[in-house]
Amino acid sequence: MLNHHPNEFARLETTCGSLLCELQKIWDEVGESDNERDKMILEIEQECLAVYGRKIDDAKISRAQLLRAIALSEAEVADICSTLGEQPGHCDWTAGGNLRDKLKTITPLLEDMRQRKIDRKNQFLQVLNQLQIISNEICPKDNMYKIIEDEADLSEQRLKELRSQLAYLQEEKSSRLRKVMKHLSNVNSLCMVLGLDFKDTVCKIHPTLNDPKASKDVSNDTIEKMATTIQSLQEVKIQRMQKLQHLATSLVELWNLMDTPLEEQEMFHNITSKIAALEPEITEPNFLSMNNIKYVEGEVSRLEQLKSSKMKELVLKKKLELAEILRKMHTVTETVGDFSIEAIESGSMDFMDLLEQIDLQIAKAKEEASSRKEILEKVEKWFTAREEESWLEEYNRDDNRYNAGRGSHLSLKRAEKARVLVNKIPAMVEALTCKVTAWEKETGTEFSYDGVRLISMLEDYSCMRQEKELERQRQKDHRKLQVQLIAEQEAIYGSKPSPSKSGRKTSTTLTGIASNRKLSLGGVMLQNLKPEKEALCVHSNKKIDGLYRNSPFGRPQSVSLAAGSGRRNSEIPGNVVNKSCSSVAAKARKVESKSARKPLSPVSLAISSKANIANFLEDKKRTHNGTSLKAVPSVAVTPSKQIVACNEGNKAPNTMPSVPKTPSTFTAPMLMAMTPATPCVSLGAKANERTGDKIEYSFEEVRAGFICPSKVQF
Amino acid sequence: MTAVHPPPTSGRELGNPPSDGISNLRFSNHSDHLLVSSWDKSVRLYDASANVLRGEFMHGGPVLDCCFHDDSSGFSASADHTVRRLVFSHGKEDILGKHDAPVRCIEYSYAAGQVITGSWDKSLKCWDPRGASGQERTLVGTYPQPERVYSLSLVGNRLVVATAGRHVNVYDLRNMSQPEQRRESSLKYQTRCVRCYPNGTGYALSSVEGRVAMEFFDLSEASQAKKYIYAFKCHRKSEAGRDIVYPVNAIAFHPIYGTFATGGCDGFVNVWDGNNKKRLYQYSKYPTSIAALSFSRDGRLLAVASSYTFEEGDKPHEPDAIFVRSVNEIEVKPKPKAYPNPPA
Repeated sequence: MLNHHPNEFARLETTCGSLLCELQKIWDEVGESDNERDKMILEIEQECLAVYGRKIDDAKISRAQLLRAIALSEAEVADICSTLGEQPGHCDWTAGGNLRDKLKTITPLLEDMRQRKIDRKNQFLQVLNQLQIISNEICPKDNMYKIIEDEADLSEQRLKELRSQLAYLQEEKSSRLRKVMKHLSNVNSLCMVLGLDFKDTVCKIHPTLNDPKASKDVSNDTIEKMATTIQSLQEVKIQRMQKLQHLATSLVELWNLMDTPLEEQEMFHNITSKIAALEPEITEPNFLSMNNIKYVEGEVSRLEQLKSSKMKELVLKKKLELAEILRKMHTVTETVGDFSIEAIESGSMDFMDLLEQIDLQIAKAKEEASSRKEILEKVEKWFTAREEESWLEEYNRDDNRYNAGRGSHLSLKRAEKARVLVNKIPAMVEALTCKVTAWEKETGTEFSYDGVRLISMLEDYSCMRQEKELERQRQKDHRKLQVQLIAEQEAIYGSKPSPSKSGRKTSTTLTGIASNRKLSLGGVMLQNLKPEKEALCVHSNKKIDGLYRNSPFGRPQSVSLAAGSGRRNSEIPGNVVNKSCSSVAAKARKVESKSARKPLSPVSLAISSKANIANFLEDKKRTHNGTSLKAVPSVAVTPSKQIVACNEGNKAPNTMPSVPKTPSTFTAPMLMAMTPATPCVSLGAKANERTGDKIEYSFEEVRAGFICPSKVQF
Repeated sequence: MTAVHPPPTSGRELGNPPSDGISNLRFSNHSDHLLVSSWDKSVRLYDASANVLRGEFMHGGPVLDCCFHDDSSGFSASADHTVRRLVFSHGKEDILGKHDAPVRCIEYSYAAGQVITGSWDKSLKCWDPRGASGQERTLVGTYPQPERVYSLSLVGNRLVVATAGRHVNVYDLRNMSQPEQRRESSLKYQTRCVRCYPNGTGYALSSVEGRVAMEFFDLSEASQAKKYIYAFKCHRKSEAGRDIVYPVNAIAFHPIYGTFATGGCDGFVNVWDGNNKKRLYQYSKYPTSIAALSFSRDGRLLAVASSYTFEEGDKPHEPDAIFVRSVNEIEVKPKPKAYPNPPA
């Protein structure tokens, strides 16, 4: 400083000297004493010294400050260096000149260091942040990378370490992400196959998994959950697959069993084709969904049902077959009833067992049939012979048999053959008896024919034949007696009744079992119908009949007269014949014969009560008037056969004329007489008028305006 | 005896009756619920004992018949050709399928698990109500009939079909390919109603001409000759020397005693004992024709639909009403014959 301003100093020296001179002059002028002058100069000297002393103090303080600043800076630099893990070696400032220079050099260095520290810190923060985020993602519960607050160690090495950790974690994260994606695709495929809702399933594990945009959660927990989900889904899949394969197997079995048509099978081919597939092979969407399984289950149960119904059918068929064989064998068919469908349905019996049993029985029955065959053939022959015999008998009774007529030559021929056959019967019976006894001995059982022991049948027949023989003998005697009687009568009255012609037919023939066996329902109906039809023409006869009954002639004559119309009479129900004498009935008949009766309308009913007849006549009259008959919906009237079955009215003597209309608990018999329908006045009239043709309509059809399309066709 | 207004003895009248003719009513097999179909295009479900309308289903056309499936669902046959399934609890309905003409009658077979419908398109159809919706899945089979189907009745596996032209076909539900028996009605006039005996041995058939025939399934000589088969006159009136004959619209068998009630266009309900050939009871006259009858499952209630059946075309008539009467045992219990004359 002194160097820098020498001129100034010089000037200052001069100024001080000049000032002193000036002061000397002033003093001189003033005449100040030397003492005073010395005092003054000392004072000035002292003041100058004080000023110097102060300045030096100031300079010292500033130097100390500088030193302190330098020391502080150096310390900070060293500190930062150590924090950054660097050697502070290059700071060689000791050689350099004065303190200010030192400070000048050190300040930028410090600034630089500070900057570097901040940068480093930022780097650390960044890395740590990332670390924390990732570790948070991977394992949110225990976060090991808490942000490190202390800045003690910001060294390069540590940063490197952290960076490598970060890299590792990033790698870990991406691998986890891959894993999650793999799991997700697994879950997705499983869900598809099982028909579950993928989103739902995944959402249950973690909500982020469902969102395609959001980053997936990769925590241990999620991965673990996914793994268990996949595991459980896999288990379900295997379970369902086994079930489905089981179903498919039974399906194929059922198909094979029942020859199910291909088109029905085709619907399930996709399922049966996977019958032996391994678990990973099943990838078809919804293949293992509950719906699909239920669908297949439904089909299986449907087929099961079909099968059971077919089995039932089969059992029934077998039963029928068995019954047929037994019937052909003429064995009593009680054994068939053992197996009932109910037994199977209740589960007490198995189909297969049942079938086996029936088959066994059939086999047994067949076996037995073959053993019985020979005898049965003979029995059949015997039966035909007996039929012929009975025919012949009847034929023999017909006194007009030799009258030439249509077909009489055929009858003659037949009679001839029959006689030959009849002569063979005893031998036949003999042979049959032998065979049967032999058979019975052989088998140890009785030979039964339709439940009757054949031997006893044969015996019966033999007995009957003997009886018949006796009867024939008796008849011969009787005829002789009759001739004798007639001759006597002739002698008394001189007249001779004409011989009855066809009366004999009525007496029972020896047909016995044979003919009854052949009776059918139709036959019965015919027999019942015939007399009614003929009854009309018989009326006049019957009245005569009644007259003759009163005649004083003896029995034979009345017998023969009855025989005159006997063929019909005898078949009319007894009560009709009995009533025929009563005047009411007679009147009824007369009236009846007057009115034009429809053929086949029952006679007997009309007799049941007078009231009914009156009713009937009224109905009839109205019908003839023709006023209201049209009103009834027109129906082709065909009298049904069941009319005959309605004779019940005859039996009920307390038939009432009409139903009492007052409400009461009084029980009234029903009106069951089959009079021709009473036409009712108004019903259905509209329908008929409208359509005008034969098509009938119900009230509902009329109301709905329904027109039968078939009308158009006519 | 000809009181027009029913005395209180005719039973309790149900509230909210259908607004048009009642085509049929049926009691449930499990409860006292009553299903009623009507020409007002509705099917109504009543609780007969509580006299409450439980539900109502509207259809596209008049409903000609209805039946229960179980207590929670039923079926209906409509003149708009559809066969519907009704779910009572949800008020839901779906269409089982269609005929080519109005569907006249419907039955549910518990034995076969099928719905059987008869239509004026001259066919019978069987439906499986369990199938998914859609005709291909539900239709089990179609069986052509000689004429338009008028009435159906089921007992066990037997199905009796009465059609126009007095045909009667008897089917076995297990083999519907062809009728077990083809018969002709023994009555000379149009069939109105057919109902099987509860014991499954035969059926009763009524005609428009005041007559009911009792028939048996067994065609063997023994049973046919036993004279159990007969027909009797009923629902007639003598007036000014002329008989007026009324159609017999309804037959209902008592579930326990096997006796049966008939209802005719004369507005009377008669109870008969078919075995002893006796009329047991006649209820006092209802306001108009008896369109349908049904006994409850235990036979303690009898539902009577008094509803004009259009036998005389469109004309003013009494309002349609449903009466539910409790049945006294004496009215329906068979009485042995007065004289010892056992049937052959």
